[in-house]
Amino acid sequence: MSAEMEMKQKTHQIQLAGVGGQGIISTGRLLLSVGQEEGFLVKGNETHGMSQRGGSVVFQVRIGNFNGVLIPEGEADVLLSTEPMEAVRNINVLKPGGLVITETHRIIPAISNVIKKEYPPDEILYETMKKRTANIVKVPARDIAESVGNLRGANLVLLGVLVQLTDFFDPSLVEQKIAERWPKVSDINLETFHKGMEFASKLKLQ
Amino acid sequence: MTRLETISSAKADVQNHLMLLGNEAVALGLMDEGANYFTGYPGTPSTEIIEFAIKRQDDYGIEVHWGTNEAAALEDAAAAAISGHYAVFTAKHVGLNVAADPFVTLATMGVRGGLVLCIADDPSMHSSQNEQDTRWYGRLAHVPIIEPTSPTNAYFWAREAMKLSIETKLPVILRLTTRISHGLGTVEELPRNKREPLPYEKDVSRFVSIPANARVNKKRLNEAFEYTQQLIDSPNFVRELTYGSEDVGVITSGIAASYCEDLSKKYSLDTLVIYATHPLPKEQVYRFMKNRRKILVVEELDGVLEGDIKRLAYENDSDVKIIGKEKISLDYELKPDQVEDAIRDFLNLEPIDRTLIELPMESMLPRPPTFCAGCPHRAAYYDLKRAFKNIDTIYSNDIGCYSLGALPPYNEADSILCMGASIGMAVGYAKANPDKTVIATIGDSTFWHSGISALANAIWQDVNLLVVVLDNSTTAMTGTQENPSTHGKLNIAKTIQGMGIPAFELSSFEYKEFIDLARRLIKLPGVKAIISKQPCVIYENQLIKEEKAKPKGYVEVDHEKCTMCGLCVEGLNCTALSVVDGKIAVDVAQCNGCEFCSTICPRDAFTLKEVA
Repeated sequence: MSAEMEMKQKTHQIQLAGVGGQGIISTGRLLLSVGQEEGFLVKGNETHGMSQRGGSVVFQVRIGNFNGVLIPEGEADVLLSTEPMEAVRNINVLKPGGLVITETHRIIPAISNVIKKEYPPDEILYETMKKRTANIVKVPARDIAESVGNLRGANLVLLGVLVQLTDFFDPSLVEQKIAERWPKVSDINLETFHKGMEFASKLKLQ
Repeated sequence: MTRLETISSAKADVQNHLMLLGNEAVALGLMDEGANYFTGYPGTPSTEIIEFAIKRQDDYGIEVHWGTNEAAALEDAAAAAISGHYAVFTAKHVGLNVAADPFVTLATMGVRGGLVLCIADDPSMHSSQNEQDTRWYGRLAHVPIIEPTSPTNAYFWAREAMKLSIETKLPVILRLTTRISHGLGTVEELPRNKREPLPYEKDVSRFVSIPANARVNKKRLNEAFEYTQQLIDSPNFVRELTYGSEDVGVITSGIAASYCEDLSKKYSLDTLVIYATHPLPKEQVYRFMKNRRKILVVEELDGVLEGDIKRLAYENDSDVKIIGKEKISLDYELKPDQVEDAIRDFLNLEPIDRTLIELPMESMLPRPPTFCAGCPHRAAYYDLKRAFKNIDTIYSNDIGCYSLGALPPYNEADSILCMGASIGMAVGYAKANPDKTVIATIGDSTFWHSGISALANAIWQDVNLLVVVLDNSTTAMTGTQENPSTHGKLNIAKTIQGMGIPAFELSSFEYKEFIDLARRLIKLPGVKAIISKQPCVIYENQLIKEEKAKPKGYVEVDHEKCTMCGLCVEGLNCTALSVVDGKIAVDVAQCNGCEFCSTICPRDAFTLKEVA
């Protein structure tokens, strides 16, 4: 039996989704490093190459006794998306009743003007997500990040929401990893992360 | 061999292990096993092996560099390994096609030091033009293949691959796939094995492959391969998971093995993981299968192991039933749920109800990759489209970021085949379609890779052709690696002028001048070239991040001037521009201030806002 099967029994599977350039990969890697610091085996996988150019991007985080790097369909505990339509695109990876944390700010694909097709209305997006789970947390992450002057910090707001709403990660370890990962801008990034935690702490969960 | 010890020591304390991409684990493993010479050509999903070696090059005191193409890089690595060094060559699967000529003959000569070819396949073609299975190349050239099953054990198997090459004197393929190369896992680094390169020794009878020597080398290869078979027929190259399913079992390898490992305990299914997939560790495999009634072979892409295992059963007059590709997809990468479905079917269990939510596809928008905001390729395609709008053109496109010119609204690709084919195919397009105007678009790295030899052919064949070299001075698609154009080391315009044809350098952001030049050149007979020279915006942003350059700012729209003609949003497909509430909106987080929208705007509605 491999060591990977003898480790602690805690498992968490998180799918991150969004658009190339939104910090999906750095957020995913940060979560892996937190899981590792807590003493768990971790596996992840990320999108490289052509799809990084403004296309849909995913990152999968697996914490616990896994050998494979891919999350099977319908097994993710959390789907965290930096864009609402991307949350829908990835909804089937979530287990029924799992947690969706999604940014509400849309990123309209440039192609919509070319093919003359409108971005889908919110009702359609959230109704589709609801078929999988009632636990949907909508976060105006970009606005929150901008309120502290962190133009590209929406991913950290969502990370704060994740850490607050689940008991998957020790907040102080996440803070430590944020400071290590972005040493030059650690103050503003920590503030952005805390804003996300604060937002989540005010939510009434079902 | 210390594989089992390695795996069990992984439980000590993962906190102290390294968090690495599979590719980084491979590079580190090879460096720790004494590899001192790395070369290759960038290609997803293989690129990060060399990139990681570049980062550690000073620490290890080793030679690391990119080559102009895979053939040149493999010849380079081969010479180092023949000289007595411990060399590494990296490429994506189709890159080995380019290097196939040196590869197959090199196998017959063997090496004096060591040579590991890290070849990364791309099942599902996340960033590739086909999903060929590199394991056939091992069989074609009689070269051993080692396959890790996870980013974590990629470190160990990279080291074993180098040891096997040194022992057998054969080049060894370390076969990777996207999910291993771009998977992340913890890696325990083990002590370095410092190896001194051997002194050079001339050996004409072995390394000069004239027919008389080649015939002797063929026998040498057969013997070396036979020796490899003996080495591999040991428990060290397999791992057996025993759960008591005496009647049935699974044989698997590569990334598929990691999915089987996660499932074999759940289904109490004995499983044999094979790490050396060529030649097959026959004794180990036969021992595992001989007393069972049926075997499921789980492998990604082609049924390569399945064929070998069926042959092994035939050779041993075994009547064990071997099930493979009739139950496991031949196409695309395997998903863990597909593997579970196949295992349940194999065990005659009811299928799992995987009710999936139906996505509202009629409402959803696709989000294909696009040129970055500020990318000069977008401007080049925009310019060309306007320059030749009433002309019957064939666009012969090529491989790189600029392949995206095939998509709307540009639609400037009649074909994309392989590296360098834009110019190579343009000859045939021109001769077969004399009534059409042929334009070849090719990037700087692809030009140096194989466009240059095709250009010599085009000039020699005297066809009418406009070559547009989209020179952003970096190998952008794979993450801005250096190539001969980087830092101005070699100049494409001067090179082409030296071949005796007209070649002009101009930025694609110079809209009017670019169109004028293109229209003037297309009237000339023969081959002529525009070198659209403008740095890659990702590369520029890296310089800004490193505080070596200043950001240009972003554009703002004057809604008084804007008439919503749509020229910018429809013609450019720029990720920074969209229509919100009936007005043009600029995403300032995306805009890089290239101002091309401003250049083409008939109302002059855009202005650059500089940032402090």
